[in-house]
Amino acid sequence: MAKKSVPVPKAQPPGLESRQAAWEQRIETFAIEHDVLVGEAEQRHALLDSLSPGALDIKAATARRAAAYRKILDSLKPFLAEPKKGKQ
Amino acid sequence: MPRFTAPYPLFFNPSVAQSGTPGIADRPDFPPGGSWFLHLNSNPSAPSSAMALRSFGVQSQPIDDARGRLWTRSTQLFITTSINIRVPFFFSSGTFATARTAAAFSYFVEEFDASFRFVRAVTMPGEIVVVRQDFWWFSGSQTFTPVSSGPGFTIPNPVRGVLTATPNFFYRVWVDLNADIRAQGFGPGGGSSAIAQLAWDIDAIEVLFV
Repeated sequence: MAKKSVPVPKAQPPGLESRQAAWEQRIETFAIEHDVLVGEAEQRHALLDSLSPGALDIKAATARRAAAYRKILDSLKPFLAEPKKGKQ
Repeated sequence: MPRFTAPYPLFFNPSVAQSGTPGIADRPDFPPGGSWFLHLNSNPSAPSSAMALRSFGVQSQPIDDARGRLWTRSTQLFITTSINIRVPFFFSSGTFATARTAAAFSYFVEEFDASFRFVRAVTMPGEIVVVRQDFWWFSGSQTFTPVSSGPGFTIPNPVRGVLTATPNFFYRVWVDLNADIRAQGFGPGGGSSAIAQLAWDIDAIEVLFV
């Protein structure tokens, strides 16, 4: 079986309680911030629904941005590939 | 001055915090034990967030470099690093929506007493901001040039007195990379996207007690 080219740490060293506690505290803030993000998205949908159709060319702009984003993600795929196994 | 190079004895790499199914690539890189690759990208069609902490650390005691023995008085802790930042790519785009992409390096110092009981933990005030962009887009997109990219970066030393070291205590010095993205995805009207990507090598960590 081929060895992994980059060893992955299998266990955390001892004495990391304070690090873990600080991280868990940040995760709580993260969860709140994500809820705010979802709320913003819902507000945007509600606001757009209230606008008269065609007042802003949002659909076309959205389609352009979404297409550009997918193109960028495709262009980054080579970076995201795992390094080849067994190669130095 | 105790100088440490990879592989470092301490590491703290908790699972990436995520909501809304963002894309994540997250792996050790070369050289082993001191390098990492991280890529976070938002979900194209729904609100998503991701937050990562990747950290390498070393442990030392207050040592008088000139005499080669432990200090018997209180000292000030100074840290120097050499960080190589590679393949950075930071992007956000939006129509009528918010987006965030960010990454920064900082020190986290833990103090243990002579019996190795935990005393306190301090996040040092100095940092290297690679990118920190928080946008409310009406309609636009941008690839952000990193403020810091390339070899030889050190996180600015904390000002004197930020951390006073006690004789015979133990100190763990961590070099943290904090990165995060959030975006709303593109729906029928408006939306946003974000990418944060970088690889980095911690070439050296030097710890000095003065």
